[in-house]
Amino acid sequence: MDDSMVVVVAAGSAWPLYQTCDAYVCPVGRTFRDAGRLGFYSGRTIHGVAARIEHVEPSVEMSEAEAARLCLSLDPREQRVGQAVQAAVTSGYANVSHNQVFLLSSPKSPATVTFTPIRHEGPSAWTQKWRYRALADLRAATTTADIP
Amino acid sequence: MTAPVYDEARAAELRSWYAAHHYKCEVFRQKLDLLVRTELDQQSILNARLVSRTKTIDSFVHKAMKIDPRTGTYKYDDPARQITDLVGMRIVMPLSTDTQPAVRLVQHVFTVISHERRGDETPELGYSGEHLMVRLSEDHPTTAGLRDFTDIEIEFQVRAALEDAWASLQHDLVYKSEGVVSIPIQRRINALAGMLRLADSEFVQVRKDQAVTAEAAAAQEDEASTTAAGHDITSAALRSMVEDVVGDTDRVDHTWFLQLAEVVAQLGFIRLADIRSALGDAGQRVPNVRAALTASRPYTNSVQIFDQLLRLAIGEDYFLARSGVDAPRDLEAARSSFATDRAALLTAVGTI
Repeated sequence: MDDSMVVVVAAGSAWPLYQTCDAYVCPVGRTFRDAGRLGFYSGRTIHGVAARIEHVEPSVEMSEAEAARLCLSLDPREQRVGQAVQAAVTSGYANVSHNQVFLLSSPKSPATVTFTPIRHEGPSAWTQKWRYRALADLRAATTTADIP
Repeated sequence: MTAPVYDEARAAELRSWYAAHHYKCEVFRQKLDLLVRTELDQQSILNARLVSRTKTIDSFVHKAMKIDPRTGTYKYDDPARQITDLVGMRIVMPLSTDTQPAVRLVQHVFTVISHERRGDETPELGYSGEHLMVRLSEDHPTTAGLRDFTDIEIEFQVRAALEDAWASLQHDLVYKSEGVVSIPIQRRINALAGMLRLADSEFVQVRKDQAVTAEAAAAQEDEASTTAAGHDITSAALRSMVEDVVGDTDRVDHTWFLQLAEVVAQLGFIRLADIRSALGDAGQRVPNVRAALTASRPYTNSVQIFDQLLRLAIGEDYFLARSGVDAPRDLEAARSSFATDRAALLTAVGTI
């Protein structure tokens, strides 16, 4: 995966979820080329973190039973996936039987690149799904107009 | 009196004002969203669906430019002060009997400016829900980090799921008709509100009946288990033990206790008394363990806290026993992670 490429996702609910459990939950089958980092756009702002994608679980059952099984596991990766399922199920984020779970570096991790949040001033949303941008361009931008 | 001509300059001024204010509202909304989700979990108000929104700039201007049909003048002569729903939070609970804990949570965490229970003031059917206008409380510890936002009022709506469904559909129909709905159509829409209220009442009764059935089944299971060679560990018995040691099990899904039963079986326990003996004094650390765990994982529930108490009390033998039954994918990484997490938790809560 390319650490210099960031996929910035539309993140109305995903941004609070990331802050809760360092993960991104999305429909099964969604792929992000070879972007090594994930960013968040919501409230007309590209938030100032480019988290490293540490692991992708392609299909996870979104249920309390599965959350319990994973959270109480000895496997640290399963625990993290379980915490993401637990957060998603509890917050009502997950409304399908299975989702994909991306484990991300935490906001304070050295693996996470931070930068000044980028304002979007245009008349419509900067993205309603996701867009790919170079990390260097995000770090240099003040507004979305600055991003090539 | 003739309505004022659309004042472009006024609209532009309002747009400019809110465009400058909107970012702050949105940052506040996101922080508030996380705070409320954390509080809902801390209070074990699970199955709550939280929706939050910041009023868009277009929506603000549209509202601020509305004309009062009675006077022909602007409805809001000082929109910046008078329009108070810039940040809105909606808590949707499964059934109408579930809403009061959420309402009490809002009252406890925030300073309430006004509180209205809509839908009970007339016999006519229609919208129902609780509306609270609040601002940040100066006293509540969880709002200490939000001092920059004390000037922003928040509108909370608390509803049951079926109330919310009706309100959303009704709003969509009326909004798309630009407020013009014939009386027969409105009557039919309101009648649907009645149907959904009946459905809610029926679900409430079904839930009560199901609880009675489940209790009876659990009691039978307990009785059967205790007669078999002294084994007395059942998911129901574990729920009682976790409630006794940790508390807050009311809204923890029963599947967590089924999984906990698997864990204690892997650890080799066959009697509840053996689990209590292994825990020793660990139960006294519950508040510290809860605080340490929920600081980074706000959705942590009482089963997870209980499991961590077992890990702290039993130590490496916990890992050895469970990995002997169900080995992790990467044994060494799991062992290292177990030791690191245990050490970090011991540092946070003190030696057990």
